[in-house]
Amino acid sequence: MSAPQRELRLTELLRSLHRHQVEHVVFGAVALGFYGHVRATVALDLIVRPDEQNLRRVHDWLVELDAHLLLRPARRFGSRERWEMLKGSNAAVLTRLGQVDIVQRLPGLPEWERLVAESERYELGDITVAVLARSTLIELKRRRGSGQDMADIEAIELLDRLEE
Amino acid sequence: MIPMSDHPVIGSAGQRGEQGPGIAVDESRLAMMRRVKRLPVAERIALLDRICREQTRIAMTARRLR
Repeated sequence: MSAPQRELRLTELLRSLHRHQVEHVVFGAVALGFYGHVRATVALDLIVRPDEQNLRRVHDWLVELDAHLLLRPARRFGSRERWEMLKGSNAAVLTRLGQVDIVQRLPGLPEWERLVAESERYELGDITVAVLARSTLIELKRRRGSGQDMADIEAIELLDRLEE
Repeated sequence: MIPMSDHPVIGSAGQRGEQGPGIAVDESRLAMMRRVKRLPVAERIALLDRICREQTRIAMTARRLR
């Protein structure tokens, strides 16, 4: 990776998302953390509600966090990127609170309404965090099938088997 | 390590309800997973937060040393 890394400040990121009223569902390694399995990651992965109003909130949130494009770190996340998101693009950015990967499109990703209806909800202090249903995360990881994905699937399945 | 026959079967074989021996899982890893799972969500996420920051610091140090 050629882009500079910044520390991932996860809790602060989740709080700032809440402040900006960005409708989102958390997935990826951070979702695993909510389920009960902790492993390191460099990014917060988010699926965001794909409507114009919410995408404008995503834009405002990223601008406040001084977001730059992950693959072109000299370039700020701006109006062009907002336009691309309105057209359905994903975005990977570096913010002052760490890397954020925003997804609207992914092979096998269910419709937003279903994602939200099936999401798991966790209380984190005074905020509620919506996390992708673990069955959906397993399905997405199985489709991609990297070594890390398969290890994550095993961890999720093992979690379910651990005694309470 | 726990005996292979006592290893939990994880992955698709586990879903099919097969008995061990399965994929080797170190006992200490299982114990650690249990402890982490039992943590309140806020503590678990705080732990994840710390691990992620530490990992980034290590990666940045490694980059400087290259």
